[in-house]
Amino acid sequence: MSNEEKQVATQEKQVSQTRDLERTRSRAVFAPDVDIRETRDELIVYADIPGVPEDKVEVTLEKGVLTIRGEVPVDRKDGKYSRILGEYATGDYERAFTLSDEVDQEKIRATVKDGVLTLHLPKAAPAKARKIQVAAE
Amino acid sequence: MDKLLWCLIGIGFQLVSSMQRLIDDCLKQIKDKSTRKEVVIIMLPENSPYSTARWDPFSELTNLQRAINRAFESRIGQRTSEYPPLNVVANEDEVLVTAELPGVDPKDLDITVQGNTFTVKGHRKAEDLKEGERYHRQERGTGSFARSLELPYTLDPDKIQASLKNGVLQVVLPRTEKDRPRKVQVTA
Repeated sequence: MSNEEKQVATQEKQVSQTRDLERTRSRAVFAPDVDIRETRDELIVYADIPGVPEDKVEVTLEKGVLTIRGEVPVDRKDGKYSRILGEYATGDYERAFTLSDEVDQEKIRATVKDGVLTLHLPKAAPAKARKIQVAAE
Repeated sequence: MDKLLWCLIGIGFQLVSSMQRLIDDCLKQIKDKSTRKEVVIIMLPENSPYSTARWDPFSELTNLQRAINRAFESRIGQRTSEYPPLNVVANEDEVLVTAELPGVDPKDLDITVQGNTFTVKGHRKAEDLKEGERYHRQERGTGSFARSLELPYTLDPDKIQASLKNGVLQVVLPRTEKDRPRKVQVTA
């Protein structure tokens, strides 16, 4: 039970807080909506990133922080269009999660389909207790 | 009898001015709360009690209602609770509707056009949890949705193109040929 409690600790940080450097593109950055599901063997993250082509998705893992980034190409329409209705804004996506030690960080898989990024985070085998030899001087 | 009439007129005047104050306050509040830049100017109609002897108290209420409606009318940058939110642009020949529908199967999407009304209906599947599975987070919505949009002109149902790419729906709604504005050559 205590193991499971630890798994929940995928901590979310707001985009503005994770960002140290300024971006070169001046665009809105949104935190995508996610579902995180835990199965027996893995954690599955589903993130809604509509408008992001497959080759513009970036998943990085650094120091136990999993970052999802998606770039939405700027839509340049030909022809003189005037805006009638604007109910949503477009922009890039970014969101970061802290992974617990129970995730096997080597075996993470990512797929994108219909604007949904799916990440499979397999659980690592329970870490074996290692004995560390203390050498006497 | 005369006194009574004057008295009534006096009460009438006071009612109207208080009503106007009410409208102004109301609009001020609305304007403060929303970010909209359009300025709402409310004027009393021609047949106001100031100009004629006949006065209908209900017309004032209707005016108030109309003013409030107008204050909420601006549709650009408007937040909507309806799903999916739509972006619509138009030029002389066509209307372009886009909507973000991540995770929606094209088979579960139904687009219809009737006259000048465009409707998008669909369903976003919920994934069933198997035994021993659970959600840590569930932010993505599931279920069915429907939205209709009435456009200012008749649409050509045969020439509609719809595509769903990377979870973004784009529909091109061309205006019917005979409905398009035509340039008339002026001969000397």
